[in-house]
Amino acid sequence: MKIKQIKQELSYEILVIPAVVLFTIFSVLPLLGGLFLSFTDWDGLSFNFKFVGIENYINAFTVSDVFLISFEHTLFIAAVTTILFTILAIPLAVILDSKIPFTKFFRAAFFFPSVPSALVVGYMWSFMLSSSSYGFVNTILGNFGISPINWTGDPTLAFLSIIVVQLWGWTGWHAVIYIANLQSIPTEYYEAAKIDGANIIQSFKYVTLPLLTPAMSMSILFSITGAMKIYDIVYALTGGGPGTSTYVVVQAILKEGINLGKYGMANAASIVLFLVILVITLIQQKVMSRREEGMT
Amino acid sequence: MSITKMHYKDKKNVLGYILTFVVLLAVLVICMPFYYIVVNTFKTMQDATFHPISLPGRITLDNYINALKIMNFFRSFSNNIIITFFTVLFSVFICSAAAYPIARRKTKLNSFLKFYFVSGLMVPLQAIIIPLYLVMKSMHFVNSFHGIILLYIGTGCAFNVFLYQGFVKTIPYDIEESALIDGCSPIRIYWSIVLPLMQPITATVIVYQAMITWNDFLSALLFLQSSKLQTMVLAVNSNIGSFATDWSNLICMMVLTILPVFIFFIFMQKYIIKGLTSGAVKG
Repeated sequence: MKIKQIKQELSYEILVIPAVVLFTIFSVLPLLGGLFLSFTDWDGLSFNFKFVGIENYINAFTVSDVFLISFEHTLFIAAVTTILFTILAIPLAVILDSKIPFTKFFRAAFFFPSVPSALVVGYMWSFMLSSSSYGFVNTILGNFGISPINWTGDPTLAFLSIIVVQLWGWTGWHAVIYIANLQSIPTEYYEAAKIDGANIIQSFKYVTLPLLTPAMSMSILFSITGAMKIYDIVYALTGGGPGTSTYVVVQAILKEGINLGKYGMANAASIVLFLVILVITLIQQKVMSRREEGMT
Repeated sequence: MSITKMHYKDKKNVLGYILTFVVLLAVLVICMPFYYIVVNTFKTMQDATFHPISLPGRITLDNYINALKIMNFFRSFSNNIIITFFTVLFSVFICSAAAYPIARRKTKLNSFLKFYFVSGLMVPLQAIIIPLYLVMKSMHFVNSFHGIILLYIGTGCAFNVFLYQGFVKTIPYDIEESALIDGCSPIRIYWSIVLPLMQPITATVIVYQAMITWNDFLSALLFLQSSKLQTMVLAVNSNIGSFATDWSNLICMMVLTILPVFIFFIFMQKYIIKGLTSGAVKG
């Protein structure tokens, strides 16, 4: 009986094998391998290497400032875009969930910029922001007598460009998450609030906003983790420049690791990136679940 | 049902009109870049330089003809199709097959496997890209379609298995049970009973895996270096440098790259949004 049972369970497990094999080779092995290599002085060529402890981690953040500044830039983009997504997407969702005409078309129009490849979106915007006579933004400004601005040539403006393009691309996406949540709020709550004498702002503040916690939780999580992984759009828009002033983490990892062969340091930085994303995810989920518990 | 819905009627439509107008303006801003690149693709170089914003004076298709040639459109497009098609096809079968026993059979092995795949959700591709590069090189998977297809399936596994196994729980067990009593093998049950019932979540998996694969730049840049294997995104990228001053062909390439995605979005919108929001409601 026992053996028969095991046999039956094993006949189910055949189905798992392909996924386990591919997942192990392309996700688990690289993660563990990267972790292992981050503690060695492996040069990418020979099989001779020794353990160097946390030397790579120290070197990555002290020998040159490339990783340090790229983490700073990435965290900055993550913080600013997350705040702005939340501020912009909630009102947008409220409007797109109301009874104004063409909401279906409007939602699609706001959502679409998140669909094409981020790289092509980045190049499209570098065309829009170009200082040549083609540049849309500078042409418009020129009509008001403002001389052309080199949007990606100045560190502050380059960051501004990246953030604006991110907002253009993803605010509608975040709004869709909020819309789904808004639709789950029962009308009775608003009626009750109205009977109690609440005005628009009060019922938004005391009914809508607290009940939007699940969507907010998801939106913030995706915004932060997405920004930590940012690469394509920066690569296309500023190339990390001017100089290294908009360098981001993934870019630094690729350059130091693959182009310059500094595997130890690049792996150390990758593990730090992984941990940052992991910690943010865990903290955010804990905070949000506590808030959700507090509400009910 | 939101707050604006409640109060919009009270204000005799005025608020509604104002909001519609504001949203319309915002939509125009959102659509502007698309209008701008599309409109300039039909202009001659001279027309585009002096009147970049207006509609084209005389429509020319020369830019498109050049762009199709330069980006080797038919090759890069069919490369995209091949890679995306096989990635999606195998992802659906492999991940749904894995999710079925994991969600259905309560054994220690399966609860470990569930944890194993779920922890993969926390591993971003970007953080393992260097060792992944080494894996791909050592397996001689660089510059091959099968290599990158396996990579896409492997890195997408965690999410797809997660979606599927969440769905399996909602399928009633009765039908499978009677099939099992009739002596059906688990593989047979999966294939002829469970897989067809998984259709709704399969739609989500197809749509998302297709978009991720189609738009991928990072892995494609590293693992498809040969120009014969170039995808459309890579074709745009590799031509960007040679047109520092003349954008006319380049914006055609952008339009040609965005157009298939746009058509896909028009038809698949429902599934894209459903996939996103079903996750949101669960929180």
